[in-house]
Amino acid sequence: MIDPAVLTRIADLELVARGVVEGAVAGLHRSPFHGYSAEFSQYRPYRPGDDLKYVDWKLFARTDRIYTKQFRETTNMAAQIVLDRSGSMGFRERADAPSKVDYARALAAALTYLIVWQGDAIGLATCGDDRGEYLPPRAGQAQLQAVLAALARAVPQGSHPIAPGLARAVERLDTRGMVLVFTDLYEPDEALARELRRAARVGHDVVLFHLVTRAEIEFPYGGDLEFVDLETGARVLAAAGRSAADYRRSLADHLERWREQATADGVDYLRVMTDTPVDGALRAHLLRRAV
Amino acid sequence: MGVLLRNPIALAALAAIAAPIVVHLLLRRRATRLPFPSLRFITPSNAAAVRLRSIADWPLLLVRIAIVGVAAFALARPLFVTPARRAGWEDRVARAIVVDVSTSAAAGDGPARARRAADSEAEAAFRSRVVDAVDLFSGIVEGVRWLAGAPPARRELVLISDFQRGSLDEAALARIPESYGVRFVQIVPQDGASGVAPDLTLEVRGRAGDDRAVRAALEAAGQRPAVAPVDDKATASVVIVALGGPVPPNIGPIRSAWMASVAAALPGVANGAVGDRTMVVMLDKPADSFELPLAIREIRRAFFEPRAWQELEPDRLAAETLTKWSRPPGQIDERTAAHADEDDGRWVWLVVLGLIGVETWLRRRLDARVATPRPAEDVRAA
Repeated sequence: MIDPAVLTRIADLELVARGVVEGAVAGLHRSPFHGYSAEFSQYRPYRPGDDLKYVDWKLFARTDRIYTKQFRETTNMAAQIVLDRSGSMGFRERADAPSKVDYARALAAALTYLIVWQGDAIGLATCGDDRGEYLPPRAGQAQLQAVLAALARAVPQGSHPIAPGLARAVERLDTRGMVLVFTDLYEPDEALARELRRAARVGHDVVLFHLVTRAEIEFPYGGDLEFVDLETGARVLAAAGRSAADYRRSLADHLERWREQATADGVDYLRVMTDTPVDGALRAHLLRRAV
Repeated sequence: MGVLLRNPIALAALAAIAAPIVVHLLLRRRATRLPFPSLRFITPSNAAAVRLRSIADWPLLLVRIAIVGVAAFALARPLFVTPARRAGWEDRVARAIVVDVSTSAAAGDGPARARRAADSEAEAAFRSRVVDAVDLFSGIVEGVRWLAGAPPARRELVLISDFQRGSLDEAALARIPESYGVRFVQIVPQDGASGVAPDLTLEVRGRAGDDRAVRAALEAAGQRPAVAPVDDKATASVVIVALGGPVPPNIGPIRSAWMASVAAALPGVANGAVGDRTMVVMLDKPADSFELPLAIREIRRAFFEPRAWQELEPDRLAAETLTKWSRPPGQIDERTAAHADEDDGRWVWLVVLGLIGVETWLRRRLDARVATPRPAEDVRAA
């Protein structure tokens, strides 16, 4: 497991991605991205639980040993990562904890690595201010490096909503593919929900990674605090201890509303706490999709 | 129990109480700024805004004001007059000892006896001062002045003298406050017991024939006529001082009866002793003594310093009179506490130190409370 705190100390996203993927995929017997054709890759000794249809019986007859065939999936899937890099994604609950964008970068890098590893195309759109980046989906190692470099450059700032960026990214996906959205959902609900719905309805496999820190959920503050909005710079004085209950209630409503909305729209909603190991989060996602 | 301030002007430092108030207002707690992803679900609190503009921690401010106030009080050197302390004051005596060092008292063994008596009186006193005085009146004035500024104690004035007649009277004693005790120690010199200054010599001056008149008067008074003629170097026992003008009004009468009778026999001398332009002084030294210049100076001084005139008075005050004038020290006057040579400032400074400790504790507690973010458990408990 990779401690989230480690993310703040590793600059090499590829290294992070590889570590995350190796931790997450180990023990998984089936590709999470099923439904595509695959080509033979290698044999490996049979292990209890392997699907018998992948056992090479001819080889068993010749060698008297049971081997399972492994396939390298060669698909034409195109995946598009949409990363929210608005100012709120820069929030971290402690100085040594990763920010939400740190966590999202690591998770997105791992997925990119995984997708490129299985031969599919991956693209990236970062949204947050006017200088958003867009990389159209492509396959190959060069694209992996390009996406990882773009992820590394994603600095949280500004208060631009990601809905327009998401809409543009979806429009540029020529074929049905996968849209992976990383956001903390602090923007007008309607516009983003509309774009997510639209992406799902045109046939894309939309996954919404909702990044939340534990401090946002539990609101463990007391005393008089001046809260500063990371996106707008607006300030509010509040007696944190007294307003905590209202805050938690409102946030719980917000989270539940998004979960229901996403489910209703056919969007795969996954709430990710930034204090959980990244490979654990990835594994949970892959397991869900493998079902 | 009363409280006296030995340095009340230090209370002006109470104005410094404004300092902690100003500091408290300037350093009042600011809200800790906390970057947060969104203000969408945070309810602004007006109460919090108001609290930040007002004085945040009254106990801390009050303790700080108390530190300044109590420190000013300590600087004022307070003295707590407790019953026990007052009883201690009543048990002790401050004593001014006036020692007569005039010529008559300084004769023979007078000085040594007077010094022994003064030392004995000083030893028995809580605080004492020996005042050497040529005349008792000025000694009384000086002694009273010192006693007035002495630390709290019963007060007593002790007069050590041969008490020539005229050296002390009721008017002089009236200068002594009622609450002061008065005691007299009479020292009569064994040598020169006549009371007349033995080293005085005479100078004979006057009109021609005055010496003869004096001689006749002396003989009539039963004295040995040894008066020399004017400007004669023969022995004489009478000084006739012829003044260029009237006798000063502050010159008192000659009290000695025999001297007065001689003076009365002199022509032109009124009231038995002092005439318009003449003065009669009886001496028992020869006129050709080498001490003549000293005698001249002493006699002249006698005219302008009336007390010195008493040196020539042979009679002494009666013991009964001195006993009648004596009185024990009275109760302590409340005002004398202002001259205490002690105070309780050190105890008040201890209180200041204690308050500083309380202030530190309160400040740390406040800092710990303000520190944010607070653990979730605390928030839930709140």
